[in-house]
Amino acid sequence: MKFSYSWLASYLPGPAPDPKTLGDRLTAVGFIVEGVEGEGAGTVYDVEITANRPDGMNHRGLAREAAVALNRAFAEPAVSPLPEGATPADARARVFVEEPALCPRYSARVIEGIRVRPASGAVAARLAAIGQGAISAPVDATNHVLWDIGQPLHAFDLDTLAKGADGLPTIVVRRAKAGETLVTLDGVTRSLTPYHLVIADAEKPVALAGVMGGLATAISERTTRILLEGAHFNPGAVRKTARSLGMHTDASHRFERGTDPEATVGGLDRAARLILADCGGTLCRGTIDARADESAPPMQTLRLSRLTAFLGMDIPGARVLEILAALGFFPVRDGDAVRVAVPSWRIDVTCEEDLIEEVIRCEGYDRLPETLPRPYAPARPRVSALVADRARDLLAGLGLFECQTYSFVAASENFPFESAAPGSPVVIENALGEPFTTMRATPVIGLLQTAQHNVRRGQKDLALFEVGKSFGWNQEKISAEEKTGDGRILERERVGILLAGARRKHWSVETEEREDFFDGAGIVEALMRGLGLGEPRALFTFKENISSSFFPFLAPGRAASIEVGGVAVGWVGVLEPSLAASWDLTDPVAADLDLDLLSALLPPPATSIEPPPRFPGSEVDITVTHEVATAWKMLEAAARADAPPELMTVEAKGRYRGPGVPEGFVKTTLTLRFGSPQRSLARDDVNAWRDAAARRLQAHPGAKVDGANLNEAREES
Amino acid sequence: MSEAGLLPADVHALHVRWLGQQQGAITALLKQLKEVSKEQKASFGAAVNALKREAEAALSSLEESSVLFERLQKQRALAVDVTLPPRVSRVGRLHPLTVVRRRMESAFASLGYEVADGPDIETDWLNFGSLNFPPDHPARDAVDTFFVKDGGEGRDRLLLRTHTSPVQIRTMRAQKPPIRIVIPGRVYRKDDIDPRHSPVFHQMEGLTVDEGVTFADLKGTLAAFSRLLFTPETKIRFGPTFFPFVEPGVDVAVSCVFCSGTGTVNGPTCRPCSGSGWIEIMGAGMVHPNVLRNGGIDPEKYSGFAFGMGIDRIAFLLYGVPDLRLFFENDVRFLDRVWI
Repeated sequence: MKFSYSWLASYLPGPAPDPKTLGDRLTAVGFIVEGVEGEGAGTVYDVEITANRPDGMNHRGLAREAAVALNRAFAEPAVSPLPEGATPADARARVFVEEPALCPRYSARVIEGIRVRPASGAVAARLAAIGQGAISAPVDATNHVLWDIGQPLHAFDLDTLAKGADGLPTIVVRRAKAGETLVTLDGVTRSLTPYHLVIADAEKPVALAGVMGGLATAISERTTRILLEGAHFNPGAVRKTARSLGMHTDASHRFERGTDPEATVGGLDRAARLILADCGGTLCRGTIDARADESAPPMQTLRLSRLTAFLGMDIPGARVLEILAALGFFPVRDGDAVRVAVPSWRIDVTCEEDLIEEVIRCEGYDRLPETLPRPYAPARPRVSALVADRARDLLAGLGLFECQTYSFVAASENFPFESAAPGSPVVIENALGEPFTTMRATPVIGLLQTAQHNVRRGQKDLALFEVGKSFGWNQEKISAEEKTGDGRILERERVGILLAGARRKHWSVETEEREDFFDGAGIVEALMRGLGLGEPRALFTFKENISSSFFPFLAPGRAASIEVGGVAVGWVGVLEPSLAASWDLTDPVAADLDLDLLSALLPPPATSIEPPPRFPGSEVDITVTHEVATAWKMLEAAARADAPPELMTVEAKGRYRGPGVPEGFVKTTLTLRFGSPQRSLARDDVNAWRDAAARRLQAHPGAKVDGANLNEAREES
Repeated sequence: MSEAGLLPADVHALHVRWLGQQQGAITALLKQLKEVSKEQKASFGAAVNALKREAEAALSSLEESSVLFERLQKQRALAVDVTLPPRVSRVGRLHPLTVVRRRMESAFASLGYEVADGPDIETDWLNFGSLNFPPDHPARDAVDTFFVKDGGEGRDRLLLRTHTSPVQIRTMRAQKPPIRIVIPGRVYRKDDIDPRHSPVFHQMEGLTVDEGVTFADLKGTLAAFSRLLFTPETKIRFGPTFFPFVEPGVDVAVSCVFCSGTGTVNGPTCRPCSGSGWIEIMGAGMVHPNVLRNGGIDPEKYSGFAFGMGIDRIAFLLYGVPDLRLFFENDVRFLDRVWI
């Protein structure tokens, strides 16, 4: 917002202040000077004024702050009495306020016999300095008052206002009626409803209250009689009207934030003086002033002891009184209490803390000491945050890059993954457009965007992860038609993983191998182990034969769900090929784990760690030829079934398909490891256990154990 | 590269040649002993035996070195070009925003702060109303908000939180003072994407509520934090401003990390701080009594302060990243640059 130095200085009697110092001091008390143009008396400041200080959005108000900031006097320029004619204003026009709650005060003056001319040089120059164009003396006068004391005014051509039953031009402040329209000053036809507060004449709306006047009743070159409006509107009413019509004006900006109800008459008088000077004419006697009950200025109390305790510093009572008096609060000291009358323009001051702010901002924040609150011992950090950060460390340690992608994605990007998160997709009502409309079902979508972005920039062989939330409507709450409170949306912290490209390459390896299912599952297993869910306790499993209808985004037969204690916590698999192709990727492997679920399922920290057995164990291999369809986990289960407690692990040592193995069959070598914490194992025992396991494997339909490989137990060294 | 040296086989050949039972030259001399005249026999014998001992010693020493030489040759055969690229394990990275968040959390942890969090999708009441943003108030204009489609009405209307402040209310409702929390999290504002704006970004807010908490405590806490995060010489400055949920509200600037607060970098004006020597990094203030009341806390008994800053903006200062979009594009060449 632009302010003229010389205009401000007109309120600061005495020697002219230094323009730079004036700007610096305004910034120091909270009116931040963001830019300065010109120099000397021609200096113009661009000031950022926060929404709570509409009283500073005019030269008089800002000059009052400047006076306090510069510790000098503030005064209104002296003026001669305003000449009035004999005809009373209320003999020329009528004002009715039908909505006193929305328009607590409507003041009006009438000027007759004018000739519309351009504004005088002084007014035009002031407005030009702050970037306001000249229109005509009456309009410029109202604009001048807005920028001078913050009271928005409107000038009607009195002769264009429809007359009421008593034959007088009539102003009615009311809600618009459905179907009414108004062509505003900018030439736009506005369709109105009872939602809009309007100024009407006896027949129709003639202005949008507090926003903009109508074209038909505006001042023109033919105008000879003017009705000047100076009103105080309810901020919410103006805001609703302006926003619903997509309008924002200098007037609405001030009314929305709150104007001074006591400034209407003073504003009218200032404008009348300028119009009389430039356009001649006679001012009708008196002011039409329709106002709801006049309320006494609100009183507030500031306790000096509270000020000291709140700030953590001492400011002498005399200084407190000096600051508040300069700001117009008329402070009176009563022991520890300072009682103030809040000025009508300070609508922002409603509590003791507001007064404390007035004192400290004028005293200067530089004077505030730096102290620390009393010591406080925090409790333990949250487990879920720990899990998320542990997952981040583990995955970065496994060689993956952490990404941060937007929480919203394109509807079409989310669609294939909808079943990845509980609940139906959450859509943004006023999104930026695609691809930012739909809250994601899994962070994997952002990773696919990232992979595509990197591939297009020539990067390949990507290993990525993101820890972030998924979103979905809580179906239970929707079914119950719950429209309030928490829990309508399910948010889950997840980790998404994406491997796209070749496995780690080296000059010593000639062929390039793509990352496949087992690389993805390997990352998941390593992560689970790191979190305490993997070996040796094996609390989680990969579950095969998952339903394509639940996982349409994964390639059938190359995907698994991940379960902990029977609870599905995520999935891993090769992306469905046509979906992968839509991202310009070939067979990327993706995974997603619900960290909120995992954190609830994590085993407690180890409290007694068993030392490893001191006695050497034994390893034996068993090779079995079986149908391809027989899953590894069936073989493992057969090897483990009825095995003695000495059987510690069963590992897959090798797989072979090719010459010597019939079509549809595969040869798998299992390594069984036996051991005991109490004793060394006897070779005969180990061989007997191995043979028993071999028989159990052989009992599986279609399976045949390779006898030649029933070799002797290997002693562990 | 071949190097002169004897292998054990060579030494064996030498042994056969000089000391061998059949053809050894020295053995042959010994065999001649019986043909030497009686008077010469003693001296001849002594000389040949001396020669034999000498040869034995020499061969034994050669044998020893030949074993070493052979071992060396075997190693040489296994030699590699150690300057070739090694077989590097995949090296992953944490995202710079994670790294910065942790640095900030750890600075606050040392000041006694716990980490708290809450949902990204909040109600109008928790994001605005309870924080002293009345409905139809211009203070809401400063924060363009994304709303959820079919997300309800009025105070229950669902929206994407525009700040992590709702967690302040949630925490006050759930916990009695003393409260000392920081709230890192994702926030959303309807901004178009450009180098300085992102519709998704990250904030860290803090809240302290206790008996006797002062405005000076706020200043001291943020000064301590800034020194921990930036340098021990960092200074802070308060400037008055307005946020509905605090009173008084302040903009907090730190002495510029690029020019150490001098306003110039080797002559030219420091660009990040426009020569002012200060960079605004957060908003802060004393918790508004209405907000304390909405959190179920008596403002006559307790006072508190709150502060909030953009993690992305702090990362921008710490890493000198010129464009916010880099944090969300995740170009792996960019991510690879951050190791602490």
